[in-house]
Amino acid sequence: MASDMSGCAIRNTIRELRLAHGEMTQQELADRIGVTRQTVNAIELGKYSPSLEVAFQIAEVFRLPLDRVFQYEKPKGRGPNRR
Amino acid sequence: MSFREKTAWISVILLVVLFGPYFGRVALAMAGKAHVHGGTQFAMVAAFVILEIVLRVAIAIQSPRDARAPRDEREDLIDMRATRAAFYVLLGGVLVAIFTLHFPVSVWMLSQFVLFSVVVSELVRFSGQIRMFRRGF
Repeated sequence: MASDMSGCAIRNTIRELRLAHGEMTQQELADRIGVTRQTVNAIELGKYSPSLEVAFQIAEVFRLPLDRVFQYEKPKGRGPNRR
Repeated sequence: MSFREKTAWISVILLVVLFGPYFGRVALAMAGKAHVHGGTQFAMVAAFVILEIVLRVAIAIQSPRDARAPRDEREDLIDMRATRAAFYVLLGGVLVAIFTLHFPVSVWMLSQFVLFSVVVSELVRFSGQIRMFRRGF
């Protein structure tokens, strides 16, 4: 099951994958991809969308293709995503 | 709480605690109800820098691993966004300072105004960082 993404268009299954990989902690994942634990938590909760580089690194840790870790859902009734 | 969020809290608290009362006194001095010695401004900036260094070193000793770690991409983005907001505040302050040069204001007054702009822009920067760290981004 994908994490609740708080209205974010990008969903992920990082939490489930961590638990499935020997209950890997957020800190362990953060150390392996070179970010802080807080950043991993923000990604998991859908509060922050990582760069492609970090997204690929996460997928590599779990030895899965990127689209098994991250899924894009087109937001309804919204134009292009601009900050 | 991450190392960088802690440093942002330190900066905000120091800015408020040191410069809040200081600018209160400056306002009274401008109204002719108090006196602020010329060297006080320099002393305040020096005190801020010294306390900032001491407190940052103290929390770096507490969590050396976090302190040594380079910023990650989220922390960089948070810093850039907060700095962008602070830039506009500082820009506004500088423009008003330039405008006041056309009026008979003393160098002391002008320097207080410029310092006030710097302090407010730094408050915007660090409080913006804290807000984004708290909500995730």
